[in-house]
Amino acid sequence: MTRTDADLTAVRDLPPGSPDPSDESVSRTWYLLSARQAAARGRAPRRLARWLVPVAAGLTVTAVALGAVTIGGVGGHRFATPNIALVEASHQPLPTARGTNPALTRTTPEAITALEELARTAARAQTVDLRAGQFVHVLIEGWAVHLTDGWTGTVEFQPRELWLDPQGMIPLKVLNGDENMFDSGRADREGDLEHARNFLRDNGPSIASPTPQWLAGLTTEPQALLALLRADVPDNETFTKDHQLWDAMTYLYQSCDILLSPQLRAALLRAFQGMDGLTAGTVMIDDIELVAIRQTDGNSAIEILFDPVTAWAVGRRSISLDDRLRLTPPRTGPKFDPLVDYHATWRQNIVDSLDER
Amino acid sequence: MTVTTQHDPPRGAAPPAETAVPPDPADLGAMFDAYARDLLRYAAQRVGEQVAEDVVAQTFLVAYEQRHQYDSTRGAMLPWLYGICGNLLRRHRRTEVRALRAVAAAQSHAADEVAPDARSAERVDAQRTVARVATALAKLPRRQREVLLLFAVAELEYAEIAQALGIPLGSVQSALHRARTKIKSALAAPGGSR
Repeated sequence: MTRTDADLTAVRDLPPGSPDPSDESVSRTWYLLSARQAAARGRAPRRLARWLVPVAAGLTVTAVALGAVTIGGVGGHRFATPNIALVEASHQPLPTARGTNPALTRTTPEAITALEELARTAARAQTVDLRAGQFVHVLIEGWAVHLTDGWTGTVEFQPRELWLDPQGMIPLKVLNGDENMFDSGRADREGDLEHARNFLRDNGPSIASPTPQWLAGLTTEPQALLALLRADVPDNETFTKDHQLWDAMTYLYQSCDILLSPQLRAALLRAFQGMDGLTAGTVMIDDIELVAIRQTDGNSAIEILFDPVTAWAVGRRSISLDDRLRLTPPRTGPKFDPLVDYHATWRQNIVDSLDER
Repeated sequence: MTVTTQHDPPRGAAPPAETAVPPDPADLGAMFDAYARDLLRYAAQRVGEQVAEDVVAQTFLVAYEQRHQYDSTRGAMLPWLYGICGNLLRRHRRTEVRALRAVAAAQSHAADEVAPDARSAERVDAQRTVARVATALAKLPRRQREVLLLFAVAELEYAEIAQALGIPLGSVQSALHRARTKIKSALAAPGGSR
């Protein structure tokens, strides 16, 4: 050390007796670095590289899930099913320890670790510019159960394409396969639009009706962010607040992931660590590994799928834990192990018109 | 360029001489060998060894990913790495401040014990000084603390600090002056000079 002024040495010597880094510390750091890099390269998504990583092209492609289980179904077989052979999931069991809300289990250390690792990755992401007049385009590959009676159903391919007005994430155009759902005659397009815009005007932006400005103004302090988000979901006698929050987050990611700043994306992942009922697992789509964070409330479980390479939310799954439910796998498409009520992955783009993808 | 993920663990040797040719940023192993100890020393001083290892590992990964943004004509590699490291350390600001307050509390508590002789009295004075310096450092605005630590611990020059933090040279000088004034005041407070 060449600077020996008393104030500088006093600062340098804090805390007293702090040694130079040991060889062991240097080695641990190197192995940590190598492991992370190897993991990132090993996970480098083959198909997701095409689907989810056109960042280099200047546009971030992200995650969005549409809808939940469509009871009664709306068809949607006009798109060819994706070329996926196997969707295989593994998930840790629910712990017995209760959470801060005794109605839920305690979030597991594995879930917290997974969220923290994602948060560290998220902070390195890029920000996408959204200009006035642009839209968010979302393309979804989903499989949803079509219930034929209360407890029996068949899982069917459900492709969706959305063009969203960023002000409230209001759908302006929705394709079911190649069918425009707003032209189907069943949908009251003008009424829906007016209702959505009136709701946004009367209630302001929220987790259910986010705007870019609202997102930009959210705190990035995790505890405060969690409190804000919890306050933004209504009380419900059927499900806990955290379950409803997780459900709402799937839709927020669905419409807004592409618009999240790296700081907010990381803060969200850290805020979730304070929730109850979270567990961790993986979902393999062929050889692409995604991190699944599940929130379980009674017989209802909802997963958000994260790409570990980018920390983007790239999918949603709904799993009924009620053993009365009998599901039949899709006639075509991948094998699901296990079969679930709803499984979807998605990508997002910023586009200039409702005809652009 | 190939990343040397099979690179052997660092040999624990001293960092290369200052006259050595800086490593290619595409050679992760060489970059690590050259600068890991500097960054670990700096980060550990701020957030402790365990978090420092995590931060420094991430620093090199980020540096490798952003290697195309590194321009050797605009400054040396080490300040660039300190800049990345500093950005990552900001996420641990609470840890850093908490650690400084813990040092202050521990030293202050130890100093409160009765000093039976002159030698012990000297030690008590030193402990109280450490406590005051730690408290003063914890209270510094983030930018002033970063500048001071890059100057005192990392021993960067003004221009290198400006490069690391992406701020004007004048801002570095004024922040450092203010920070040092506060630390000197803490050192000069009654009951303590080392």
